[in-house]
Amino acid sequence: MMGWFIVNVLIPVFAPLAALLPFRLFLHALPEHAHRFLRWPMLIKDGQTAWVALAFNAAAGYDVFSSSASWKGAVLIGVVFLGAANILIAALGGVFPVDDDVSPGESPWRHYPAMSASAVLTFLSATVFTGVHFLA
Amino acid sequence: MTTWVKKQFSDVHRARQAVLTIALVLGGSGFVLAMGALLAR
Repeated sequence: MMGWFIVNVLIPVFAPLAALLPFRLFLHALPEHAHRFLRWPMLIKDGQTAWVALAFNAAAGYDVFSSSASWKGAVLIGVVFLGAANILIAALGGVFPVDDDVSPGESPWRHYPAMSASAVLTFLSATVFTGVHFLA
Repeated sequence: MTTWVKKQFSDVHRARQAVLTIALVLGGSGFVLAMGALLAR
């Protein structure tokens, strides 16, 4: 169970963030002007995790569609709604990017609304995906 | 409808707000539906 969760949920969401680590470790070796880009909000600031959440929705939809449960219709509609929300954030987060100019003291969650929304949607999508996988 | 959409997209800030609101309402209702069906099975 934990293995399924790590492979299917945690790795897709957090592996790109972990890929930033080697660059952080050798930050002093990299040119000064690159430093501001090598921070974790840069990877997800325009709702990029919504793409991952969309994959969760697709997989959950497949899981629930191939199950014979009586409640599969309602779950499928729910997954489609979640998917539509993730498509909106994934597409329009890229169309309306926010500059990485968080003022000191300002919360990055307020400065990057698409990041906050995609974090919520990714959490919800992962919950539904896990629920569908183990209950369907 | 068209004027409403045009107005929402007239500036970036408004457009972002509109998209986020629609997405969160959709996602929220989807989550409630899916979890409701899963837990009431």
